[in-house]
Amino acid sequence: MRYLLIEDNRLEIQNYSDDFIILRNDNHQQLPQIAKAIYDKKYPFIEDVIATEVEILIKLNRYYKSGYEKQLEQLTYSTNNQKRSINLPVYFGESADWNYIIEHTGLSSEDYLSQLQETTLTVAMYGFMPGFIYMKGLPTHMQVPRKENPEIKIPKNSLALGGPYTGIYSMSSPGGWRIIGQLATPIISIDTLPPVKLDIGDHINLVPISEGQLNSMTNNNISLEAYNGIS
Amino acid sequence: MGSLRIIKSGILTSLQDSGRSGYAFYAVPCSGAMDVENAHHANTILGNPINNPVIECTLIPPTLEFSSQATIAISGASASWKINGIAVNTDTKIKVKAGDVLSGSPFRNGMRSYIAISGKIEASYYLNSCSYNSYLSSELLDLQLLKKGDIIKWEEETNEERNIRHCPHRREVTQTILLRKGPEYNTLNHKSQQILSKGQQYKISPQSNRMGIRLNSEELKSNHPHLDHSVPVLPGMLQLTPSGQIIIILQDGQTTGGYPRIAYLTQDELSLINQIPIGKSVELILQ
Repeated sequence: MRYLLIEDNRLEIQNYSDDFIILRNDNHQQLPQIAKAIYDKKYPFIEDVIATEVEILIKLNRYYKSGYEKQLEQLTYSTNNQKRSINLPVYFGESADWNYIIEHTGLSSEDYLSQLQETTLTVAMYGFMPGFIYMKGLPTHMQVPRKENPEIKIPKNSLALGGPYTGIYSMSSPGGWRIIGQLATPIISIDTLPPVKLDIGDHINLVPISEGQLNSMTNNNISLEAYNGIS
Repeated sequence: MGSLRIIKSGILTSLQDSGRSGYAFYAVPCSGAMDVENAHHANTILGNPINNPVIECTLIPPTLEFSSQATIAISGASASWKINGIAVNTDTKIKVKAGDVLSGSPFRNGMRSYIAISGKIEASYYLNSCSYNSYLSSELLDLQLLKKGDIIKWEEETNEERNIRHCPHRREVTQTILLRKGPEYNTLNHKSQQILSKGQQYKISPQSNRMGIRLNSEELKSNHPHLDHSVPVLPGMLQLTPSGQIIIILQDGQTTGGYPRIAYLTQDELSLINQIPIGKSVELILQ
């Protein structure tokens, strides 16, 4: 096994020919910060950087030469993150996926929802597609596996469960997660980078709303900022 | 400024370039020409920069009426292209006069073909690329499929003096696609690893699109069918779902996923598999 040392963080490195590189570490510490530092540096031999909680993937381009990844050891990264607390209004309707969740966890939907409200989720990473966020913090006994076969179309602004994560589909898309509710204030912001209004590290509280409130908020285009009183 | 009008749209006809790479960090897919070598080739023939917008045609080509003269080049799947009903050659410069109509028959030996125009086609841009994306576009962006009645305009540039770069030759169009081992290759059971080494035929499912190719494979089994966490994926990666379906991530596809990444295709192999029509067979074999 080969390693890279970035500051005092020892990362396991695996090369897949001259196509891409994968970096991991034991405790997943600081991977988002390291990934951001790699991305911001705009190395000429790197085409794309994708980071998840457990892995950084670096797509190489034709300027890459063997050993160039050693340059990453010169990087410094910042761990100074200000955490915000954001409320997300969600209508938890009935769905086929709820039946699975009740069966799998053994909780009634009322118990599940009341425990979910007491859970503070944290934005862990971007990924999948623009406007999608992965939130961590769901207790193990409330987690459910993804579907055996992904659905062709999941409606936009769906709140869904997949393994350890709670996620938001901002756009209608294929997907294999279990849908539990509909978000009343979209979080996507396609014309900016990042194309989503939430930052990694933000604390998220899910606030249950009625179907009537969902319709009224959607019809009035209530923004996430207005709902939370932030700019 | 030159222009043409779309008389018939064909299916899934769109403007494409090399795509918006560099934004996968924010989960924005690359998109871009599905067979980028042929898109580059069409531009190269004309002396255009390779990243200039081209018209990507899928299975049934559009019919185009030129309102001004132009020099064009077509490459990719063969469509028996005609101008005013008279056959024209592909992979070479074609002089077109005002009033000429370019048409073609449904593709016989491929899935995608590219029409480049000497000069630069005008297009809307998102994150430095004009490439249509099959789901971003429909909801949010001004990058749409081309439809009947649309006008395409281009800035005429004199490219004659530019040195023509020849694209490196790639393998001939083929049903056999070479795989490299992916990060979770080792989670495949022994029998599955043997199948990939010996090569296996799969049929391209009708559920395939610009986001992914789906192949049914009941025999392939991973010992770890659900990953504990979501991990990064790239266009060309093969994910194996627990029910045994292979999903090959394509240009418009997602940037992370939760299924084992058993193998991947290089850029050249990705372009080649994107030329195999839906319903036809593909042989996947480890390189």
